Amino acid sequence: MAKNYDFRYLRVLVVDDSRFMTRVVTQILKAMGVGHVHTAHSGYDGFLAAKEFGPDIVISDWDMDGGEGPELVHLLRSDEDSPCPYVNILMLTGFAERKRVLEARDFGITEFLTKPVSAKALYSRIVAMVERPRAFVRVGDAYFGPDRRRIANEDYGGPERRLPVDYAEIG
Amino acid sequence: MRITAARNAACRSITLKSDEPANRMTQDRRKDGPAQVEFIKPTPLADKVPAMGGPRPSEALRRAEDVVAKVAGEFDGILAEELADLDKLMAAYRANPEQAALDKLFRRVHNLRGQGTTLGYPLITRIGTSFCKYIIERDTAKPLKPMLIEQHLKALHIVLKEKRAQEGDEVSLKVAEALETAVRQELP
Repeated sequence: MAKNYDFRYLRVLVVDDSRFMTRVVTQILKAMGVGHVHTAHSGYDGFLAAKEFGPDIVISDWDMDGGEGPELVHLLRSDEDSPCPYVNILMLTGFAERKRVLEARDFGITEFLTKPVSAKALYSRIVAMVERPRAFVRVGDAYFGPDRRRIANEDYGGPERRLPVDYAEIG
Repeated sequence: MRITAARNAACRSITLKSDEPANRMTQDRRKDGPAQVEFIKPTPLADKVPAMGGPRPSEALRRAEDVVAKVAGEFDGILAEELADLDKLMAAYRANPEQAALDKLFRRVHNLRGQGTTLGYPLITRIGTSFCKYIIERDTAKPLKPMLIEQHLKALHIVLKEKRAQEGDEVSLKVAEALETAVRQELP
């Protein structure tokens, strides 16, 4: 049976350099019942806003002026001043190539959503974060973020793949 | 292996140290040796999101889609302003064809591309996709064609004009197809 999630206590930070897009996403979230929504328009502003606002979820665009989405993720996950290294991060992007999806996964996002954004897709990603929380993994200095393995295979005996990948080799 | 439970947003943390022989064994069996892996369990979002008391999912989605439809009604005016800005950026690029000017143009079209379908303009997304594909994936051994860039911008104007005049999208569709064909010829 579908659950009637109550999002009123949720704090969501929306970061996009398109003011219209932040407005669209904000309106969608509020219509879904999200209680607290804050916006920022660059990666760096997003990081400062996160310090003030204390988000549970950050929804960020990938390509932005004045600080890219990946830089924001890096700051949130790894900067010593980060207020929320374990925050859930939903990355929005206009690109869905395999290379970009893998790249986003490897710099520590929680979920990925390709534009155009629909209310249904946004709702399903937020519900996924609630219903299927992911443990965090620190692999030395190579990676810190949500566990990229969604399927546990205790019999795995192949090469160690938690280490960095050369994206130039991926098509 | 160490398992840590961390409190999220405020980042209060509790640390649970635990050895789990099964997982350690899994790591040791790997061909190129174990990585130093620490697992941390942040406070689940479910702690702040009760599974009852909110709207039914269908109701939440209906409300959200109604809001998108309302906002989409304002997109016409914003699109017109955005296209006028793109024309200025194109003129700037023509006058001074540097990468920075092209980057600005790309970013603005890329944003429009992301908004188009959400706000009732799928052809804006389609033409924007063609534009972005040309800029990102073109064969760099061939010279960049400002004319092809400009044709994409003109196509965006046609989409808006047809939509406003409620003329259907016949011309826009043909233009989009022609642009996609032209871009395909520029790919490696």
